[in-house]
Amino acid sequence: MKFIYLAFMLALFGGPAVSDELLTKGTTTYKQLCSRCHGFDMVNPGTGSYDLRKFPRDDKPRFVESVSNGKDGMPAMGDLLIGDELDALWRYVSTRGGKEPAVEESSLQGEQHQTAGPKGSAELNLMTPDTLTACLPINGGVMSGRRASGGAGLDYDIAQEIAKTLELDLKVIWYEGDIDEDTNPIRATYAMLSRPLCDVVPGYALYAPTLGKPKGDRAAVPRWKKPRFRDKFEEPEFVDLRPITTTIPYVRMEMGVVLRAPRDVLGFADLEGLTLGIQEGTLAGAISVGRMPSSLRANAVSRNPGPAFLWDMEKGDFDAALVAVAEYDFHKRQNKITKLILSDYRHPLGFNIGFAMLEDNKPLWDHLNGAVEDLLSNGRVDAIALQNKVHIAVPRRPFVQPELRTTDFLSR
Amino acid sequence: MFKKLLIAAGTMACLSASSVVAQSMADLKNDGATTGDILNYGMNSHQTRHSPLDQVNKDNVKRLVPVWNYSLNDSRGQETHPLLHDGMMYVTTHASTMALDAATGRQLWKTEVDYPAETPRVACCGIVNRGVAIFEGKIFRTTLDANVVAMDAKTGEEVWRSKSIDFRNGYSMTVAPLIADGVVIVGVSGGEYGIRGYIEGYDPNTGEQLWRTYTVPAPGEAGSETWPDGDQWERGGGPAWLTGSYDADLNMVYWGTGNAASWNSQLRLGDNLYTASMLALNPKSGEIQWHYQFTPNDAFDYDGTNEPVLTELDGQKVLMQANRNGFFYVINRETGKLIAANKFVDRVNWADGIDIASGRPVESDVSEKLRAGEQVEYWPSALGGKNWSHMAFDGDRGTAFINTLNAGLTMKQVESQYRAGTFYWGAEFAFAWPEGHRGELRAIDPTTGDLKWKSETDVPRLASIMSTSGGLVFTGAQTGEFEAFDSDTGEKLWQFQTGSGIVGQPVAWEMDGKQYVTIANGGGGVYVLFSGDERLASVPGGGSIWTFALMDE
Repeated sequence: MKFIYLAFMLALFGGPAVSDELLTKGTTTYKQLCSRCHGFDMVNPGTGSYDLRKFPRDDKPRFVESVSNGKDGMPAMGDLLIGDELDALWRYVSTRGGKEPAVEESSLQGEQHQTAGPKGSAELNLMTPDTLTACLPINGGVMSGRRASGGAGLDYDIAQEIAKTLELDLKVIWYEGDIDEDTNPIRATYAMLSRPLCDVVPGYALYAPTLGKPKGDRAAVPRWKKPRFRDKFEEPEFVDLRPITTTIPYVRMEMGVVLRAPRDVLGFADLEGLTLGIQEGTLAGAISVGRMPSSLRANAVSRNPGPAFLWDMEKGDFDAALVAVAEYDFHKRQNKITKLILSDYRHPLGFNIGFAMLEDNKPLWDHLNGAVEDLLSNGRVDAIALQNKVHIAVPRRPFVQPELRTTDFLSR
Repeated sequence: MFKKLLIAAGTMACLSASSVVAQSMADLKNDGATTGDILNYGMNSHQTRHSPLDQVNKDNVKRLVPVWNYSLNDSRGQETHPLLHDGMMYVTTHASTMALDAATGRQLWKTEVDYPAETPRVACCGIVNRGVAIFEGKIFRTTLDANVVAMDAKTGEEVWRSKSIDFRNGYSMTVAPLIADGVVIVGVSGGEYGIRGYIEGYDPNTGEQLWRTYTVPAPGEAGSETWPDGDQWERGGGPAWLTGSYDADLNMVYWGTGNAASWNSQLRLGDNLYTASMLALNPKSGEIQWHYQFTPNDAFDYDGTNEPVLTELDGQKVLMQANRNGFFYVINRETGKLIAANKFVDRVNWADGIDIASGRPVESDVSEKLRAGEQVEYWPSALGGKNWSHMAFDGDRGTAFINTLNAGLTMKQVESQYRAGTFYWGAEFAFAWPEGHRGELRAIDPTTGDLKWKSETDVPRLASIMSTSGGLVFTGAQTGEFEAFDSDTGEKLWQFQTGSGIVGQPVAWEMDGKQYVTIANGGGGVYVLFSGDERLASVPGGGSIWTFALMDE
């Protein structure tokens, strides 16, 4: 299920996403030559000198020009740099100090997206001509689910709508999305697209460390249903991984506080006097641990994530919990008479959701982005969310969430 | 009324004398008593930054309003100390020198400073300039590329220009010159670039260099025994980037010296004279009369450059300094003997105290560990318990007013590689910011270090302070407020939002019987660059000169 993503993103916190010798050298060179104006770790108020965190990550020529020859108030540094120090500096700056993956020269991120080219102007490189093949989990909560005829859920309906906009047929490959020790949705997505099993994987979070080059060489494709052999799963197979990207986002998923009794909630401080439920191993759980007032600590209870979590709350094990909103929506759909209430409070940390796809299929990427833009501007996304009774938020910039560190979410 | 008459007489005397010899050494010496002009950095040659003016006082400061504003057309940090003579106000940026009509704020002349585009890379902590000196019809300033320039005070025309040294090796100048015994005295910046620091004297008429006194002795010279064998001394630091003070009666110039380089103290075992010290110099020859070292074998970037404030305490002629290292020093300025040294900030952990008899710090286990190569968190940070922003001393109240900093530094000494014109750290470090406020405006007793009052701010103040006999303390915030506090209680009585951060130096003056207060705003400088304090992202750059006076009733 989609909210389980958050659990896996949590597992990625810690070490820098990019770590190599060039970066190490870039870090040292930056400190020695650049930090006095651009700040330690590139952090400065941006009033007296350029805020390098804003520098376009795909514009190395501009970087080389400015550093070598100077720019506005900045002196030329070209004659001071030795060997590959300029490349090293670019590595440091373009990866935001190693916090984000390197951007290939020709690669594009959702943020740099312009407008889609005219339809049919280039080959779409689809697996099956005139057909958009999408991989969706069989039991993706409110986001996707297989039905006797076709499927249901927000991601499923959006994929249908996108295919329709592009005048393509939609073919869905249903895969087993349940999590076990050997798999995680990010590696699964890389594997499915690299095999290739499908053209797109809907419902993928735009999170910098989970885009671009794969973190490993090979991964297993999750078990999936071959249309010909009903109810029979293929055995896992390993494939060589290729770089992936995502389209611009169509929705934003957020975390909210679920309550047993109405109460105005603007933050964790407003949960005073309640028993707090902590979801173990998920981002929401980690934030809860970090942010709950000390007075709540003694009574807080920990539970495993999954559908049973909100059931436990329903039973009265605890009074309040921070969960992914989609999780509540799913619970509500399964239990129409639920006593649980979703408060208006949303944690500021959210993830934009788009279609994952291979990085080297620019024509398809352009077309998908154009279709997503159409859906967003003509209100179809909102209509589909309403129909599915899913709380969504409008995608917010920056589209790609930079890598989170523990301090990022403990301080919010 | 009596005061007004005096002022009028003073102004007339000035006018009549200006055609012959203006701003003589006698004028400079009497500066503190003549409120119609400002001829010295620090408002007088003793750098007390105290004005005897009392027209603006606790009771009426609420009526203080701006009377003019002059744009400096520059977005760097503005640290200039305005001078005033004959109705003309002199201010600087790194890029220009300007004379303004003090009554109206209109520009009389502006002379651009031309320096090579690569120069800013040798400025560690902000592209700034701290102001001019004035003497016998000329004004003097330094340039970022380490030139000393004289201009005609009336026209701004360049009279002479002397290149002190090649900036490409890490040398720069931001200091306002000091005039002492008819000599123009300047000091060099570059403590983070592996320079060999110096102070030097120039002939005001010709620009001829009269002397240069290195703050790090060459082998064989006095003090060289405090350096290890080898060539460390050639890039041993000891910059002299803040203006000294002058006692005309003793004919001694007092000038502080900066950190030893690199920051790795183990690579230069010994006391490393005359880094992190106070020097007493003969202004004509540059000869060292006495020295006192605040931080021997400096491992903390504890510059001793902060302003020496001269006064008399208990009948003794003393020099006071609020040092980066967190101690407030009182030194007999005739002999260099230490009288008192007390902590003026709450958190000091590099030393347990200063031994008065020997004058040496009693270092703590934190320092011991740092010197042993361990990573430690020491307080105050390299920014100091107080950074350059100058304190004020109100002699009548016996109170020093200081903008203090509340930060530590995590540091580990590492190998340092020298590359000309680039940072020469020799240490890995990161700031340790406390929860809550990072700065305090403190009023202290200089002899005991006792706190009289304090006023806390989240973003620390890095502006200089001026006190007045109106019972007011003026300073500014990096968030743009120009502020006045009650000297006795610390209560903030007045503030005005100037539109950009303040890291400048307030001054007070009088014209036609009316008191004025002037300050440069324009955020920038060391804190903005090194703290990464994003709370300042909402405070735009852009400097100007603001002048205030009481609104008529």
